[in-house]
Amino acid sequence: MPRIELRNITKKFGNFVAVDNLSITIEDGDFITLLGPSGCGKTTTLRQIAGLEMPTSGEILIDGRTVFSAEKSIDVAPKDRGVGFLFQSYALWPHMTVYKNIAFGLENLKWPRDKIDARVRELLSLLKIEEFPDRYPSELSGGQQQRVAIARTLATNPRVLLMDEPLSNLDAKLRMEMRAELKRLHHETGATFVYVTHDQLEAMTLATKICLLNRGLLQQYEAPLSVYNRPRNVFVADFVGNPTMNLVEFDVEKTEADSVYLSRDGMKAVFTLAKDSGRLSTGDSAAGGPGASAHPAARQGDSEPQGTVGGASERGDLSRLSGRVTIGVRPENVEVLGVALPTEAEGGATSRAGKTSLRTRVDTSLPSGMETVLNLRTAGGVMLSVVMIGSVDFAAEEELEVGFKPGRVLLFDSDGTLAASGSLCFE
Amino acid sequence: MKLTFKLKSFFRKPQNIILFVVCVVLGYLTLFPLYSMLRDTLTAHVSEARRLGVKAGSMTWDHWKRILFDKNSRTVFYRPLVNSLVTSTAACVISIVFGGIFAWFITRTDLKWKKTLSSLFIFPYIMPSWTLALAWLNLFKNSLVGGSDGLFTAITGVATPNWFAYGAFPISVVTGLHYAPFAYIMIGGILRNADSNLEEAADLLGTTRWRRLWKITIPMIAPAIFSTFLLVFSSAMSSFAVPSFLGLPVRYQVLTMQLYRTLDGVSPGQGYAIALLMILISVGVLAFNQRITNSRRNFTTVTGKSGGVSLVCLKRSRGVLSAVFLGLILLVSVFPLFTFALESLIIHPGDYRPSNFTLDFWISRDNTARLTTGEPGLLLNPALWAALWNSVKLSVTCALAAGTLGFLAGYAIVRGRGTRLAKAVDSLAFFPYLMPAMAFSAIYLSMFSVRHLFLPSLYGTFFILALIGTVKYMPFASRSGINSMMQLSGQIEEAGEIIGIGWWRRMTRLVVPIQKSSFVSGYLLPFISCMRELSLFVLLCTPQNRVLTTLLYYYNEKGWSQYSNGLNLLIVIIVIVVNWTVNKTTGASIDKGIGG
Ligand SMILES: Nc1ncnc2c1ncn2[C@@H]1O[C@H](COP(=O)(O)OP(=O)(O)OP(=O)(O)O)[C@@H](O)[C@H]1O
Ligand SMILES: [Mg+2]
Repeated sequence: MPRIELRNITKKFGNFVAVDNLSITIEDGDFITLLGPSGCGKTTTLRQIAGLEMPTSGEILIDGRTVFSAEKSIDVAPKDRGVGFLFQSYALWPHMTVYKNIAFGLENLKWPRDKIDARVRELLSLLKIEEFPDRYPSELSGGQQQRVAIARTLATNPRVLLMDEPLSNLDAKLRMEMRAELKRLHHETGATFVYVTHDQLEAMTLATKICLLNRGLLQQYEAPLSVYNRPRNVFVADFVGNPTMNLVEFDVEKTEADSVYLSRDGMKAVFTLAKDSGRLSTGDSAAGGPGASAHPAARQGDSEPQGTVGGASERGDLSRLSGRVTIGVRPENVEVLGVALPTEAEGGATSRAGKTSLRTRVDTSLPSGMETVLNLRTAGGVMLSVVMIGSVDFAAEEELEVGFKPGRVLLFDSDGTLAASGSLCFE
Repeated sequence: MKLTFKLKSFFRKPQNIILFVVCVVLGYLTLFPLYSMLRDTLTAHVSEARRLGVKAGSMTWDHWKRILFDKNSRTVFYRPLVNSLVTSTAACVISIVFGGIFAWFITRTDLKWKKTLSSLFIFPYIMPSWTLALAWLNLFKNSLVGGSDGLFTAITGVATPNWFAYGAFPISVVTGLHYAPFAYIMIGGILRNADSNLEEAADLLGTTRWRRLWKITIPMIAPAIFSTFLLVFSSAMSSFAVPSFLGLPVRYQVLTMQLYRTLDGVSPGQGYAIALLMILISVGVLAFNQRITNSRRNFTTVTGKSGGVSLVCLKRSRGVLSAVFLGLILLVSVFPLFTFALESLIIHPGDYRPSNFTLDFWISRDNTARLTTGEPGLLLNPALWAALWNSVKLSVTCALAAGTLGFLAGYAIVRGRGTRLAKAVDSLAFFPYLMPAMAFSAIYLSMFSVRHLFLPSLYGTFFILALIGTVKYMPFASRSGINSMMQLSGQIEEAGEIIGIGWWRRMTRLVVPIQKSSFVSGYLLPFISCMRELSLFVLLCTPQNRVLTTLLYYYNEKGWSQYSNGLNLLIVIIVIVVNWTVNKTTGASIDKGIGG
């Protein structure tokens, strides 16, 4: 079973760098999603693995075999790489029936007729499209066409399945179904899946690991929950999660080994390093980089943020921080402590460095049944989104006391890299 | 990266091999002739050596001086140039207005008999260009310049004035009508795809009809108008037959007539100089066209298929307008055929009494009684059968060669989009369209009538006719190839590539079957064009390998109008029958070829 390695892959179109020095290893049997905003190089990366596009430099290995290397002048043809490719537009052959679409590649391989027939029947039932082998693609619904495309791709038993936004043409409900279907297929075929999407929810639910790109550069390559809970930088933090993470910039006033004093527009706050800092920073390694590897265990393991991250050993203490930093809190990690009472104007629980709560006003409240999204405004004009389980309705302009869950506040340094996780209190 | 590796991976893509081969071959077959032309304009021809007092083959500026800076330049060059520009521009305007209005009525109103009308409307283009010119003469010629009166005068007794019967006016009208199908196909193509909601939105805002036409509809179809202009202008400027039929009687000269005069022996250098200037003008129009369409690309993207285009209801004028269009189109498309049939049956031209009719020119074994030579009637004439066989052989060869090459070129251009090589081949494949046919054939004559590289002398051979026809008609095929490949997503092919289908099988089992009708269309246009081509072959054909059109020209020069009319009718019928058959059996059509 194959493992795919990209080593320092760069792809230029003229002077434009579409993929910039990308190195990742996809382990055998993984389900990887390539995630990122439009134009970040996802399709290009996928096509390079398939051999449909030639990298400008770098190396690609599939199953230990070098299939592309600019230095060694190797470029294996797509058909000899043992990969299947599922196109966004399905690319079914309109002049062939469903049966023929699936059988064509096998005929080309000179399989005997009865074996072809058996294989096609098998795929038709695997994908639950037994009823229409004789229809033409134009006579099928989007979801059915999608299944035919998958069946065609699986026919020759590729050990790697590359998929370029295969669900983007389907409606929301069908998409949910097909997602489950893909997960089942991954399980049943045991192949390595690489899946392109710009839908982060899809990436979260499907993948064993997410490879997040921006402008051709690798941002983070880790299990979905790690990416969610410990985004390596501000871009990832902002891109993953819905509603998006609350990100607020502060100036560093003063630093100590385990705390930073911050200020903005008359608001002062203290960030304190989580107590059990460093516990995880050695095990589940930092994002990306050559040699970054998947640990299936990482999914089950507690991948919640703990203390300093991102090469903790050299960044261990906070005293090196300066300039403008960013504080990030996921909406579900903001807690509504209660309706603020006028008498309690100066109130709130206090900790070592000050209060742990903040007074805000309700801007909008959007209950959706299962949860409620609140948009709050602080005295300094900072907007905060908050997710509460259950439906609670607050009136606009109502005053609320909120606090951030201890240990769940992220601190990004002045170049946007995640520096530490901890707690925040206010002065 | 190592160079050999780069080259190897470059040529591993089939489109790059095709681009490379086409680039070399077309470069040799188009740019080299261009260079030879330029060289010939600067060297003294054998027939001029004495006059110039230099050795034949030595360098001279005489040709350029003579056409540009001589006291005769006015008659030799400037006057014909102005006439060419005037008639070509007028022809463009006529074809765009006529074709455009027709396209609008067909796509946007509830006109009756749309199917019949639109297939009849294409007729003038599939008929030889001089067909309408001959019909015009049959109808409107007068006896002022010698000869007999036309049908119109015979019936009404009204003599047509010279300006109406000959010269700039009929040349423009006839050429304009001949190319109106271009405009119809291109403008109709955009109107059919464009969202009529755009126009309706303007209606809702209370725009007046005229404002809407000017502000929305015209800008929307502007790219089609410019492309039509380019195609019609270059063709009109290099057309020879129409101006010579309609201009000669009153000595109305255009550039191609000067080309014919100088290229046919006297002073080819001057001819090539004129040809180069004509090419320059065409290239100028092309460049202008490209700039305009590029800056207006935003309009061409308005082609999202809209659900229902709501048709303008013509109400009470529906019947009248439909009848008017039918009448006009019958007049242009069907009536000429009738006049040819008529003229081929008449013993003394101009006399339409029943006693003057005979079938002798079709079926008599020996016409000694009527003509000085005993030319047998058309259907029994061995010369005609030989020419017919030759024409069919030639057209099929050219169609196969140009169609295949053009399709491959179109395929490779689209697949290699964005690379410099693809751009080069794109322009190179269109270039023969801009070459005046007559000059093109003259230079082939001079290049290939002597041993050339590895080729023996080709003068008088079938091969040289096939070669020049292939190159000249390749632009049609490559255009249609590009059009059809643009509609086919590259992923369709990649889906095959990745499961190991080789290139040849991808082409024959996927690409061609999916695009079958536009694929065949790429062969249809070269075939039709070749069947009715005159100027390209008139210099290259020897009496031994005449084709139908050069035979027609021969009859015309002899003044045997019954024969030329009859033969013309035959050519038109053959072309129409082939077009119809191909259309019915494969769905291919010339609109698909031109790219509507
Ligand atoms: N053939 C090409 N020539 C030039 N530029 C290209 C080409 N293909 C892609 N690019 C550029 O490379 C960048 C990455 O393209 P790519 O198709 O990989 O994006 P993507 O991440 O798949 O985006 P999307 O989510 O929109 O599909 C884009 O900016 C695109 O414009
Ligand atoms: Mg993409």
